Amino acid sequence: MQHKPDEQIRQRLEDLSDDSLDLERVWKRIEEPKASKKGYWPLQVGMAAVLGVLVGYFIHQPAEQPASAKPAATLAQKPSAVTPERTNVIPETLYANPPQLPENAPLPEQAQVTEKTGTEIPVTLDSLPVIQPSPFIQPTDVPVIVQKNQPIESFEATVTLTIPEPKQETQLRKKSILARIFGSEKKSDQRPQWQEFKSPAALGKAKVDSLKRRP
Amino acid sequence: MNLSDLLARCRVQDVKAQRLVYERYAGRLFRVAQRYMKDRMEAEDMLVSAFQRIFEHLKKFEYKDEAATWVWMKTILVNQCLMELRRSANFTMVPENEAPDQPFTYSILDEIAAETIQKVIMELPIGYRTVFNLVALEGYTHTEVAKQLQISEGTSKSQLNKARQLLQKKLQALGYAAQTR
Repeated sequence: MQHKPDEQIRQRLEDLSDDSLDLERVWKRIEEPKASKKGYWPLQVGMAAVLGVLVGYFIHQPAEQPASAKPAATLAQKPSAVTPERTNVIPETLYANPPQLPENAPLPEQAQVTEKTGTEIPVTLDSLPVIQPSPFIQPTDVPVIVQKNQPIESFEATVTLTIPEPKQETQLRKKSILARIFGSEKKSDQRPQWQEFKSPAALGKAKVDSLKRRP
Repeated sequence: MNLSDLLARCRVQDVKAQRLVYERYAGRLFRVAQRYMKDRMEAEDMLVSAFQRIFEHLKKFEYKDEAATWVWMKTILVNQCLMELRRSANFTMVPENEAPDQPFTYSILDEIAAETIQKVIMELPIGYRTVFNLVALEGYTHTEVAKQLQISEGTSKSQLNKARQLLQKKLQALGYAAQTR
């Protein structure tokens, strides 16, 4: 059952004066929607998260400077690195100005100890990978370097070639295939022959047309 | 300046006109919000968000008369309140196998001061109060209330019955004789 609203009571309730409402303060809140809006914190959290992700992304990106951009600082030009050629000859330019170490330069602690005792302290670096011989890979012989002008030594080698013998294919005859498919013996036809059929009337199952028998 | 001109100026973001509209309706809307919400602060929050929505959607509103404008503004406010209540309150807590729907007259309330009625309504539990406000005072149907509050029609009816019973008890406690026809 529906109830009709009491218009009078509603009107009285709405017309109640309320002096406690601070019109000025509420108006300021209306004017500043961002500060006063409740329930928008998820949006703010989301914005902060997106901002964080973007900052993280750009921080971890490799520094890519566009070609047109001016460098902030210019470095002194380094001498171009000498790329060794594919020869065994070491270029003389590397020995032209050998690096000279200062004679009275302070030695590191390890070097001083080595100098005093005359023995080298083994230094192990755990961070470097240690190559262990794999038990599954058999070591191969180290190849001997042979000079070009060295005479060729004679050697003997035994090579065993296994050539498979060609199989003799037996050509099946048509007869044998047919025999396998249809059987070796020809079976007699068991199906009823047309001569064995009898008319329905002879069997007494056919309807007799009474009209035809009328004279 | 008449209301139509005021609203036309509000549409072009005239702050002075908006302020005038606000001063004209804020008190009444605040009273409505107070009937729905738990306390003054919540009612004030709803008033703020309702006015923001009113000024935002004023472009779509077609002015007919002052009464229609008031109903439009109040609907926006009530919707804001219901959205907040849906978010915070649980309307499905009350069982539905309650007293059958009985005829009820609100003539008793005619003799009582509006402040007292407002006070008694605001003392009702949130579920009762919301349905009472919507059905008894605003004139919504139970189907509409059920849809608005995302509850069943039975729950809406049950809440209204309980609200009326509690209202009568409270008025009796205040010394007013309950009348049911």
